Amino acid sequence: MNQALPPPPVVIDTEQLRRMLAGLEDPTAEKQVWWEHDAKNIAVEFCAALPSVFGKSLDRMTLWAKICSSIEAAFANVVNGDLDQFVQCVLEGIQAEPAQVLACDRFTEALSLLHTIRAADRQDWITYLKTHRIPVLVMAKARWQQFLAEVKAQ
Amino acid sequence: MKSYRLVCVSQALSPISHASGTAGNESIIARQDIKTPRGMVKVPFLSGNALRHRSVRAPGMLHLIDRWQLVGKLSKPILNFLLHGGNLTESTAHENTERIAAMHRLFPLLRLLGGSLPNQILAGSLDCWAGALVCEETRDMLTGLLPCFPHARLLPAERFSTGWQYTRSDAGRRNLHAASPDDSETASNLMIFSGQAVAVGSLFVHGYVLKHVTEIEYGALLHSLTLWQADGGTIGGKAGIGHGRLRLHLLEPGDIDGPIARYLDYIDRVRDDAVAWLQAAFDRPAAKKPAKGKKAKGGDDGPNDPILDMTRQTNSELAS
Repeated sequence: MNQALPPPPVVIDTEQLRRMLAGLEDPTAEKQVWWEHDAKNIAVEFCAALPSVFGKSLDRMTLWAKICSSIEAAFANVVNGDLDQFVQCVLEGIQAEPAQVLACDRFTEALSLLHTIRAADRQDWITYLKTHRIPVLVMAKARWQQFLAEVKAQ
Repeated sequence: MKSYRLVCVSQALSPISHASGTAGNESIIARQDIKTPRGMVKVPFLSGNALRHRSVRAPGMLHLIDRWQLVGKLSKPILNFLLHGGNLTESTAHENTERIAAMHRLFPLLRLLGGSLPNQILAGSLDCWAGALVCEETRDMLTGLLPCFPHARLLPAERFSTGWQYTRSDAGRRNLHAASPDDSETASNLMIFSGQAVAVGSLFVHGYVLKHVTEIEYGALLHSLTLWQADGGTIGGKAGIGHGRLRLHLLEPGDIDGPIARYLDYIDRVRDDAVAWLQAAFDRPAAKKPAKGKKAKGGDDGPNDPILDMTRQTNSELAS
């Protein structure tokens, strides 16, 4: 019986194998120090600015939970390190009103800080924020409350 | 004759549910203990047993049965031998080297896989490695094996573990059923079941070592792998709902088409002798009940035993 033979399995060489394996590298491996200091600092400042622009239509009791879920959703939507798109997704998640965002100096400062990240590190930063979001939000909440105390004291 | 070592990298195209058991309604994936600098860690893996059956024996033997037009013509013991390795069922096992030699000549795939006839175990010449998940924990295992293992730290094994959950529904919701005479059919069929899986995109390194084989036998292995891939390259459970698909990559295997073509040409030529060998290997005379009383003492003709008959004939000739 003659049966048509299916195509053979894919054949790869050493270089192709090297590229396959490179995709499994831990992105934080060579940036441990940067992650633990700069990336963390920027993440905390960014998240601490979000309550300033939290949507008025949302229940304030869900503030931090909503910010957390917005970060997760934004991470899923950005694969190329586009920080502006990431920020846009987060703002949409917390239903921030454009006029309120534009008028918020605190948020503008946080955005400027975000743009000090090198282009090559931006996707890594987004990944850092997603994978460390709860500890970052704990510190962001403390920073936010410190800000509120300062405003109240003035 | 030469030895071949075929190193493979298989990429998960769908969740891999190679299970090792259940905990309640949850299916647990198979893991093996790996010693790492931070202690023993359980890492998902693919068993050599599963890979050997799914990627080599099953596709190769099913093809053979179909190609030799044996569908519906083989006994169940023969099918179990071909498809699942058979098992030793007779108490008086013995070595029949002539039968082994004939099997090696007529069944290149069986020379690789071996198996068990009812009264004889047949060794194979194929070693099938288990599939190691490429992760930081398997670095020591894989560094010597793969020529370009990354120096950078890899993701930990648990990053490749994921979960799934499905629901079996209840037909009663459609309200199409007949009225039940009693309460026996009112119980809900609804069930939520879940489990673990290895995530899409994960890589497994596995391999095959063929010891002192011919090119035709190497072709038998390559042919099985080709068929396995063509049928989806599945491993583990839940293939019916999309799990288990692997894309196989062969690392610098040399010529593939030549050995496969020579294997296929060979099995077409030996078909009749091979089928005859199978029939002979599994042909057993009907078992006779042990004799009792006078018959057991040889009071009349005695039990029908060819050796005993010859002895009696000789004694009778001597007596006359």
